[in-house]
Amino acid sequence: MSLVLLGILNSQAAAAGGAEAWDWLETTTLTSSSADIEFTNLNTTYASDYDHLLVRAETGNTGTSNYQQDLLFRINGDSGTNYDHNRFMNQNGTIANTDVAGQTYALIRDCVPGDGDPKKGSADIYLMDCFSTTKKSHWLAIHGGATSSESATGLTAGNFRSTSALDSLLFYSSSNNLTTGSTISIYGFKGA
Amino acid sequence: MAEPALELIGTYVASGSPSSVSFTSIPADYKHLRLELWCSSLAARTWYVTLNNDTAYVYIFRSLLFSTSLSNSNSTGSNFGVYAHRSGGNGGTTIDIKNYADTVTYKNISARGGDYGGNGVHTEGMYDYNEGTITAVNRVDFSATTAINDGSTFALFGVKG
Repeated sequence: MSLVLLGILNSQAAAAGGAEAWDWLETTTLTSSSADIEFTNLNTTYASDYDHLLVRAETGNTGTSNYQQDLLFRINGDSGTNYDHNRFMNQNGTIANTDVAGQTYALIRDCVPGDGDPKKGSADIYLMDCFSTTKKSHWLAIHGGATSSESATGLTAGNFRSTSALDSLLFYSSSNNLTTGSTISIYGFKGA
Repeated sequence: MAEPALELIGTYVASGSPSSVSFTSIPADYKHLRLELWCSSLAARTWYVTLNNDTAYVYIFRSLLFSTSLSNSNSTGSNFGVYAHRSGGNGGTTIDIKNYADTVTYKNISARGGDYGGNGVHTEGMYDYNEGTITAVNRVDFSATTAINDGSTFALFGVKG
């Protein structure tokens, strides 16, 4: 067995230096249940410094089902039929793939525990070129969750039919409110 | 205010063909942990991850495996399985352990990997899936059924959030 003694190696980490490409920008944690979590002024605040965003969502809803629900989001408050996605998943042990076009929201499947606990599922959503006004926003979500009754693993690729720069993100659950303790963090990535 | 999301906590490069590698006394200074692994050629195919040296039946995970076809793998057990590679070695894997440091949050684990042979694996799971007492994580262990080849590298990062 090889033990890595971190107290020693911390000094090496401090000396590593170099420019940071991945920054933590902001976090919202609900102190009471709410229908949604919204981030605004993203374009005006971050577009000059970052090209891509990562959203890490750990949310639950106020239901009583011991199964995973879906995380939905809208860009710039757009509720038109402008969201497409393709996903494939391992849902409770079975492979499934789905292709959906023209929804009124972006959908990340089975990453929101439905039993009131916010931290048994999560999604990492990479929003590429989201501040561009010449490219349509697209995303890749890596998501999953586990409760004592259900677990899932998934990859979802999505597209927003607009070249508008991303300025706001609205997250909500496919059923009920988001629970107290639901947390969403946003990170920025620098790029070309 | 923006600040760097990722800080290197420690690294290890395998030597002497170890059968296991442990990161101990992990500081509780971050929101999440990220582990970047790379195994040299012909290293053990599957590495088993345990948290807090806990080998009880408290891990659940679902995997999607990509090669020339799609398949899946499902398990509950005494460890979290990560494919260091699926064939031929030279594989890399990223593992995120979310909310590792607190005692109120279940520990979601997410792993993505690929290898020289063009195979990929995506795994999601949870520590303490049977919803027992939630324990903060301060140790991560890797083991393999055969020796971990010299030169395989392990890097542990803290993630703010």
